[in-house]
Amino acid sequence: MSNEKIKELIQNFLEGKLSEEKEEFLLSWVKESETNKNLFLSEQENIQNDLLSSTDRRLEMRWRSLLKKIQNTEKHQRGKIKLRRTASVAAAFIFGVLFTFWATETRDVTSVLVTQNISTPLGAKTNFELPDGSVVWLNSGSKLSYPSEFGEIRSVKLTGEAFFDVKKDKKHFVISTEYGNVEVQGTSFNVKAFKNEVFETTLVSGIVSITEKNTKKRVTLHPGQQADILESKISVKNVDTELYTSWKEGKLIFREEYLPSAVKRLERWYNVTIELDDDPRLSKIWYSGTLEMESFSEVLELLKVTAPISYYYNEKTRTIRIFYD
Amino acid sequence: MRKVTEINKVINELRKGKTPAYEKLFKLYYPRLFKYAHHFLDDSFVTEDLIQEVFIEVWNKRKLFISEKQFTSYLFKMVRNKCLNILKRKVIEEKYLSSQAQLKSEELYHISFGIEDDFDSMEKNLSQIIEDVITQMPDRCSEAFHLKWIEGKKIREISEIMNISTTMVDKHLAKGLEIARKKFIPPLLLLYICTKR
Repeated sequence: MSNEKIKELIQNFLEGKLSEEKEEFLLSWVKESETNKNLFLSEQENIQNDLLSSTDRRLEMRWRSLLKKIQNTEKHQRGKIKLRRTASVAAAFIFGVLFTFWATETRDVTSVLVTQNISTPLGAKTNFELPDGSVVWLNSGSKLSYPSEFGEIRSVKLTGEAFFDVKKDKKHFVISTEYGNVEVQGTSFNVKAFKNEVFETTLVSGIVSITEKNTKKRVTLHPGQQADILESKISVKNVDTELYTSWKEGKLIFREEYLPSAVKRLERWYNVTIELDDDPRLSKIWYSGTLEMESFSEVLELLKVTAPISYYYNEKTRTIRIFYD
Repeated sequence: MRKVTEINKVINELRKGKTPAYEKLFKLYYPRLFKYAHHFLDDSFVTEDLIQEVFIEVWNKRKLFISEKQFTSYLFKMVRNKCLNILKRKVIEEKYLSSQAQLKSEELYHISFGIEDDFDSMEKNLSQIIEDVITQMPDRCSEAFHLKWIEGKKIREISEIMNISTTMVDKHLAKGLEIARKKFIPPLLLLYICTKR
């Protein structure tokens, strides 16, 4: 057995990459003699020293979530529960590290305009500033495109869900979606426009107007109101806006939400696939509650405890199947 | 004299409450611990949560760590004990056989984490714990229990070995389960166990 080969095995073992067979092989080599065992331990030390000075990006997510937990508990111990809120806002910023960013060049007749595309993978969120100083929080599995410089109209394109805090300006701010346009001057509001789901705009402050794509029907919203579009029909109702905007602070709130729609939000939030069994009773189950930094297995437990359901998790496909008990 | 290794330096920093040191240790040991625990638990979510819990305890106890060996053996034993607890509950809930808790290369982990006690495999420890539970049961009940949970026999086979009807086997097992639950699992935890089918 060459030294190089053994070193490679030890390195892979320390990185958790060795197959069980190779682990067994390494173990039998280590147990062959006291010399081998000492060689193993000193080589392990060398490799560990190298690993300590390198940075492993793969574990970044897990480390962030651990850091959040210890920061949260320490704040608890000091009895300052209010600070949790700040921590969760900070968490939303931390998640921002994960967004993907690219720029595509589109040649204009007169000038070179660059379109920025920002998208978030499932399970991650991000926030950023637009060229005019407006701030956008982009929820997981969403995409926003905007020009590097705004023209006469501040125009952006959204697929998915985002919260906008639009800077006041004479130029109109227009968000175009698959379902229609949302137009404002300066306000804060949430737009949800995922494919194959109900379109929703929730207004926190200011005034927005929404134009449906096919019928061109236009409605104006006042703070605390929500408009939704279903099969080209717009309807407006009064809502508790926190329910629809709290995701940007790292909180997921359910209020009497039926399982099928709760499941869709959980899928994006945790980047998993959830299938509901073919039992009509499942769609009659509803949930109320706030999730804050809970791990996915904790969430599944919560669901289970509060309703007569059970689930099966398929590790290989990362799919969860929910059954009615 | 104790050698001042890189890790000992990092542990000194951890003791002072420096998060960069904590991060380094987390990232260094996570892959190995994950692989080890995942082998027994076979569920990434549960494994991730378990290791996170252990590291939260490491942080809470950071002032107590003084050397590499003490640190790594604490870390490893915590992970191991937590695995053992989960497995124990799974065995009692008939979701797992104690003989499944096998990792042929397990001793390599013990050596790597500097565990100096005589090597005892997870499988052996788990069987011992379950045997302890079983000895607390009435005779016939413990016999059925042993055949079912330790040896993994089917109800029909147990009924042949014990020369009783399958219904009686079920009754013995149900009674044994009740005893095990009362003795070892607080009611709230039961909910947690019933997750894996």
